[in-house]
Formats: sequence, structure tokens, C-alpha cells
Amino acid sequence: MNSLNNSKLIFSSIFFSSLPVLVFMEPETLFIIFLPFIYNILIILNKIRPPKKKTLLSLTFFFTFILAINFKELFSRDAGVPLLIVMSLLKILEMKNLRDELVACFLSFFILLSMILFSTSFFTTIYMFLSAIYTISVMGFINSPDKIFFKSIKKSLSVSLTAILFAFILFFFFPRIQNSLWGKHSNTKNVSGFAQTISPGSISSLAKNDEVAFKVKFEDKVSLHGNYFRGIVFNTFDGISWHPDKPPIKAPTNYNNLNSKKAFIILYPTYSKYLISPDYPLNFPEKGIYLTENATLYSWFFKINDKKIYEVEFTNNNPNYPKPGKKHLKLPNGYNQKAIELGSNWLSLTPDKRIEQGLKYFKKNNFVYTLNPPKYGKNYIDEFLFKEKKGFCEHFASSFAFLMRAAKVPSRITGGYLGGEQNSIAGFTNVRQSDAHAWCEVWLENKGWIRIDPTIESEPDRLERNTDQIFSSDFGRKNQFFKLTKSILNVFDAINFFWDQKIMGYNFSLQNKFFEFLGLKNQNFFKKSILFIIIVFISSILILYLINLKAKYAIKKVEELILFEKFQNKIKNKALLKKNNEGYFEYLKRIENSDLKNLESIKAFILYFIEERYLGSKNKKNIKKMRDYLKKIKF
Amino acid sequence: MKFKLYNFIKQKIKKKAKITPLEIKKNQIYILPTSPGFIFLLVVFVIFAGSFNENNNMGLLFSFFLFFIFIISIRETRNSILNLKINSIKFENSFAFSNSKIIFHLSADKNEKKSIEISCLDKNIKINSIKKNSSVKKELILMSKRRGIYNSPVFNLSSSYPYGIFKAWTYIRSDQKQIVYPAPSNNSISVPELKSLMEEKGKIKESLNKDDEFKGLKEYEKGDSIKRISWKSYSKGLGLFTKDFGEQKGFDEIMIFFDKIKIKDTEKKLSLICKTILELELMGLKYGLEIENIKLLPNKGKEHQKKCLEILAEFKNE
Repeated sequence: MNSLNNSKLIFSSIFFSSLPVLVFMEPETLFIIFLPFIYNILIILNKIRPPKKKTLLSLTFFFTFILAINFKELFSRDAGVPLLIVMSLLKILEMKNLRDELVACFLSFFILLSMILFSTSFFTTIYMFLSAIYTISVMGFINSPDKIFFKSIKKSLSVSLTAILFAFILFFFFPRIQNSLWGKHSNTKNVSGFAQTISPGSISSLAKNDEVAFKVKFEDKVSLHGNYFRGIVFNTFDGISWHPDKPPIKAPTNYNNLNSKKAFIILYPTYSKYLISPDYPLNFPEKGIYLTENATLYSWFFKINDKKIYEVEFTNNNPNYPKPGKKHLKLPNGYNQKAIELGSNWLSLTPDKRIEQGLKYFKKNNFVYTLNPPKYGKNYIDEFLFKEKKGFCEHFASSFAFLMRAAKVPSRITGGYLGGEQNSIAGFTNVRQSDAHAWCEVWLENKGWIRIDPTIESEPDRLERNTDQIFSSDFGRKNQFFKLTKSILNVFDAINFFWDQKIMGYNFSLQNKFFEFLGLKNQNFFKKSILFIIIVFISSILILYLINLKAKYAIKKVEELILFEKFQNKIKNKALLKKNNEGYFEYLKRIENSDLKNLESIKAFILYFIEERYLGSKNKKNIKKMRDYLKKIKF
Repeated sequence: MKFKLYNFIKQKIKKKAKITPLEIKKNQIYILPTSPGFIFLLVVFVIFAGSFNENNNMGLLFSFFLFFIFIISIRETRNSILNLKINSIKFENSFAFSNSKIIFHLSADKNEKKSIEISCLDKNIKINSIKKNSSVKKELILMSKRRGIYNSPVFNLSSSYPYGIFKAWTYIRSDQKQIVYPAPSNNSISVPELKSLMEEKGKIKESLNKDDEFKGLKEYEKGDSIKRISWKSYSKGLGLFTKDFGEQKGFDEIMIFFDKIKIKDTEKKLSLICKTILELELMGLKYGLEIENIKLLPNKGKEHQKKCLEILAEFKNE
């Protein structure tokens, strides 16, 4: 009753495979999946009878229908993965023979694979492979005659370790291309990310979000203090929100700058088309992602729905980007009259003096930076500038930009991130959603676009605020346990970063570096493909070659039998051949009484044969003697 | 067409079947994916194509991992029958159209062998495992064919250990011949009839000893004819006794002359003789056989019976 059997183990393998995916599910989806799980368990425990074919078919339709209703579609990640799990669970109930059982195991590979749609961190990878090894053990158990699960685990461990080793070799040689071939899957789920428009409350909503937005590592050590990461540039203001260009205009050429630096970035899904770059990006190594004239990175075709790992060249100095247009001065009619008045007061000054005046206004008037700004009405810039004076970075930035436009200084708002938390072990920076920030950029004839951050002018602490955010409470700082926990978390984070950088982020350019390291410079896709096929071939042969070694060894051991057979072939008189039921000594006696020639050699040959066969010899002494005597035997 | 080609290749391969005793070498093993194996390969390919399209490194790594599980399976499955020794395949002589036993004697030297299946026609046997340095004897029961002496049929020795995604197999045949006796007919030739046939042949050397008397009971010994058992005394609960007729020279020496039995159909004649021999052996009489040039002098015992039946099996019907 309680002993292990095939369906119990297959159930457990599907359970382990789906476990990490379940973590990411919505409660109602979990409930739908929960039903077939319970149904399966009850059948396995013999509480209810297994269903008939018709019941099973109707159950299949039922669950497909329910999931289709819940998600409105079936081929997205969020509907597809639960459907796969439910179908696999129903497959267990339908198994009739060995083939069905193996197919159920293969289904759990698919479930495991679906995990990469949710997470590809180092630890999920470890779990994925462990679970795959478990499934392979179950496959072994199904096929093994002795039904001892421990033995199948041992077997599959040794098989899997070899497989992993060779898989990594193939992994590094598999030719990578610069961009993906066809379309990417789309995820319906919308998670928090940087706003597509800037209006009061769009960024402050992220202030309490601790999710990591991206990780960045600089090639050279760059001071973290005052590190701005640019994402979107907002050029148009409609009175309430700032909007980016749709679509952004491509920059005329890639810019070359002597002061260029490199940064490696792991960007978590933004579900938008904008990518993050430290300061001003210069070019991007991937096709399909362009530099816009606003000095941002824009993915022309696909949204960033997966973790994006890339290297970007950037500069801290503003390069010579295109001059501003009319849109950078345009103000909506009928909004914020007071602010327009204030701005137009400065028109007599030179543009850089106007900017100074603007900043002075923020410094003088005791503006308060707060996560909980008061509710503003239609003319929120007027209300913010002259009445409440409390706000988040978007209030500061949009008000300053508005004042500048009123003073006829071309301005725009840039959205991105500021700050981050350094991981000292791997030397990268974690930038969280709570580091989201908006600031202003204004145009000066002789300087180009320059960054003005009115938030910092009034609240210089903003730069320091985000470091050590989680453990910033007094309790956290004093407690040794929290320090320890933090350093452990840092280690895990560092391992994950390394994994993302070297393995998950292994791409076209890293592969080129790897080939260069091997002394194979400038390989095109075709040459790489051929090399890859050769390596598949070699590694397969290497695995199979182990058989050859064993086979050769086997032949050595029965050499004496082969020699004996040769000897038997020499004898023409069939009566003198060794009979099957005859022992070798009996045969020897029979031969002794025969009238064969070279009787002495034959006797010696048989005696050496017997010695080799039943006593064995360390070196091939007996075999050599047998060969010698065999040559002498002639009839 | 495809099916024919497949069978043609199969026949060609089967002709190469190795003869026992043998140790299975690597060049004798054929190996192909099973149907779940092809599904597995499809799974690997789908995972690979999807990951390639998505540029997903983790998926690629996983597909390569499964690919090598597939490749290593070839080796493991091959190893599961490699170096397996088939020491002998022995046929137990049987009567036509009855069950015949085939005894396989297998041994493993290097490492443990698992999940081995031996099949012939639609029958198969499974050997769960053969431990290192040990041997196993297994019986396969097949329906025997017509009377005659046959070369060994080709056996298919296979294994899909460890994952069932590959099947490795080899063809083997025994160095021994399969001897099939004629099927015994329902009736036999009675002893007096045989005597008269002998008289006809004129080769009786001694007259029938008519005063063979019942000399008493003796304790049953192994090999005594069942027909002589005194069932009366057995039913009384005295134990097994056989009736002792004393020395029965002359009476129990019977020769069967093939050409004296007047039945046209040779096969029926052989069946009749077969049954007669079985009866005579059961009666404990001494009997001999003469077919064409072959002559076996009267004797009794299992060994003798076997010799007689083998002659019947071997007889060429022209």
C-alpha cells in the first residue's frame, strides 16, 4: 500500500517541478491548480477510484475552460503554465503503459523549463537541475527491475553530472547571434516599473517598492555618489502629465567619445521599450535597440518583458546631441498662470542667469521633499510652487521645467534612477524601484543639454537617502544579527550577479571574447556553427568512447578462447575436436591417445590454455606461450 | 514497401546472429531509440528551438543537458548487455507441437547486468538482474514445430535499461540442435502384434517364455515400471510394491521393424512407433529399433529411449 510505485513517483516529480512556478501564481490560479493536485493525491491514497476515460476528458475540458475564462487567453505565460501543470496532473490518471509513464516524466521537464519565464537566477537554476535529476531518477525507477529508488537516484546522479559537464561545454560554443530571430512571447502580467508618463504621484508610488530595478557594474571604478541612470526623456507637457516622443526619433549617428566608459547592466523586466543607461549612452551593441536623439536607449520592436542583460558604452559628459525644437518650449494654454508670470519676469536675463534664478527660488522658499505630498488640483504647478511647497521629485522636476519654458529656456524632464546600494563582494550596484527619480535638463547654446536637479538643490540628502534603506532603522544598525544576515544576503546576491553576468548574460560579444581567448579571432556565424557541430560530435564520441575502452578490455580477457578456437580450426579430423560436454583435461587425455602430429606442442598449448583459463596470469606470459605453440602446430 | 524493406534488413541482420557460447561484443549490438526515446528527442528539440528563439541561455543549457542525457543513455543501454556472456542455450528434446523448454545460461563478469529480455517469436522472458561474477539460468517455453532436427532459432536479447529511451539488442543462436520427436499417436502397437511382426521377419532367437510366473512382491525401486505396481497392496496401505516376474529373458526383448509396419503415411507410422516406444519403456521391456540401415539393439532405460526417439526425429521422409 505505502510502498513506492510508478504513479506516486511521477506525481512527486511533477509536484517538485511545478513548486517554484507556483510561487509566482495568483491566488485564484493557485486554487484552480490545487483541485487536480488534491484529486491526484486522493486517488494515490486509494480514497477514490481513478476516473474513467469520459470523466477524464470532461475534466480536461473543464480545466481548460476555467483557465481560459480566468485569463481570457491560453497561450500566454500566466495561463499556459497552469494549463501545462493541470494537463500533466491529468496525464498521471491516464497512464496505461511504460510509454505513458515516460511521457508524463517528459511533461515535468516542460514544467521545469517554464520556470525560466519567471526567474533565471543561480538558485532557481540549481533547483531546476536538481529537480530534473529527480525526474530522471523517476524515469530510471520506472524502468528498473529491482524498484529501489535510492539506486536509481545514484545512477541518475552519475549520468547527470557527466551530462551537465558536457552541456556547459556546448553552451559556450553554441553560436550566439546579435538579436533574437522571431518575436518574443508577451506577458500579460503588469508589474511595477518606471512610468511611461510623469504626473504627480507616478514616481512616489515606487518609493516604497524594494524590488531591484537593475544591477549595474562599471568597468572602471566610478564614484557612486551622484550617479544618474537615464531611462526616458519627456518632451511634451499637456498641463497634467509629461509625455515622451512617440516613437522617439533615432539619433543621426552613433557618437564617439574619448571619455567613453563601459557598464554591464542586468535590467529586470520593465514591460516598456526603454532601457536604462548610466548618464549618456553612446552606442548599443545589439540590433533592434537604438540610440534616440534624446540620448536614451529604445528597443524598436519588443518590450523588455524578460530580464535583459547588456553592456553599454556611456559618457558622463554630455555629447553634442541635436538642438532643441519647438516642443521644448511649448506650454499648454490655460494652466499655471502664476508660474508663467514668474518665468517671464526673468526674460531680461541671460539664459544661464534665468536657470540660476529658478534654482534660487527653490532654495529660498523652503520646499519640503516628502513621500506623502498633499493632493493637488488642476494647476498643480502653481499650487506646488506658491502654496503647499511639498512634493516628490516629479513635482520639483516638472515645476522647474515649466518655469524654464516660461522663461523661454528649452527644457525637458528625464526619468530614471538615482543612487543604489553597492554590493562590496561582487562590486556591483543594486538599483531598486525606490531609487526611481526624475530631474530636469535644460539647453544652453554653448553647453548643450545640461542636467539640473531641483530636488537635490532643495534636499541634498536625497543622494544619500537610498543607501542602506532596508537596514536603516536604529535597531538594524545596532543588531549584529542583522549585519550578519545582510552580509549573507550580499554573498547570495553576488553569486547571482556573477551567474547573470557570465552565464545568463553570455552573449554575442562575450562569446567573441571567449573565442579570442582560444585564439580564434573573427569567427563568423557559419564558422562558429561548424565548430559547434564538430564539438557536439567530439563530445558524443567521447562519451561513447568509454564503451570502446571496455570492449577492448573484454577482448583481452577472452584472448585464450580465441586462440583455442584457432587451434580447433586447425584440426581436420572432426572426431578429435573438443566436445561441448567434455572437460579440457578429458580432451587432453583423448588427444594424447590420438595419432596427431606435433603432439608435444599440442599438449603444451592445451596446458597453457588451462592455466590461463582457470588460474589467469598477470602479464600475458601464458598467452604468448600459447601463440608460440600454436605456430608450431602444423598438420 | 517500407515494411518490406524493414523486414528485409531484419532478416539480413538475423543471419549474422552469433552462435553460443559467446560474450556480447560492441560490434554485435544494435541500438535505436524506443518510441518514448523519439518523444524525448522531440522534447529536447522543442526546448532547444524555443530557447534559441528567445535567446534564453538557461533554456539552451537545459536542452544541452537533456541532449547529453540522451547520448549517455546510448552508452548506458549498450553497457547493459555489453560483455554479457551467454554460456549456453540448451534445448530440451520435445515432441512435435508440444511445449519445449529452452534453457539459457547467462553470466556477467565485469558488472551487474539489469533488465534483460530474451525473446523468440512472440514469447519472451525477463531477467531482472545478473549480479557481478554470477550466472543465471532461465527457461523459455516455446511451441515446438514438426518432427525433425532443427538448427537453433534466432533469439533476440535486448535491454532498455536504464531509462527506456533506447533499446539495445543482439541476435544470438545456440550451437546446439533442437530435436523434435514425432508427436506420439493415440494408440500403440500391442506387444503380441510386435511379436508377430518379429516372427514375420524371422529373427526371433528365443521362443517366448510361457511359464513366466508371478514370483511375489518386491519393494518399489526407482525406475520400476508403473504397470507392475501392485495397486491392490497400495490401496491396502502397505506401501508401494511391484510385482516380481523374475528374469524375463526373451519375453521382453522386442525389436521394432520399421518396414514391417504396414501404414502408408510415414509420419503416422513414426508417431505410432513413438507411442509404442513410450509404452514399452513404461512397461519396462527391452526394445530395439531397426529403420532402414540404422539398428539399435534391444535395451531399456531413459538413455536408450532417447536414442530411439532421436532416430525417429532424424528419419528422412523422402
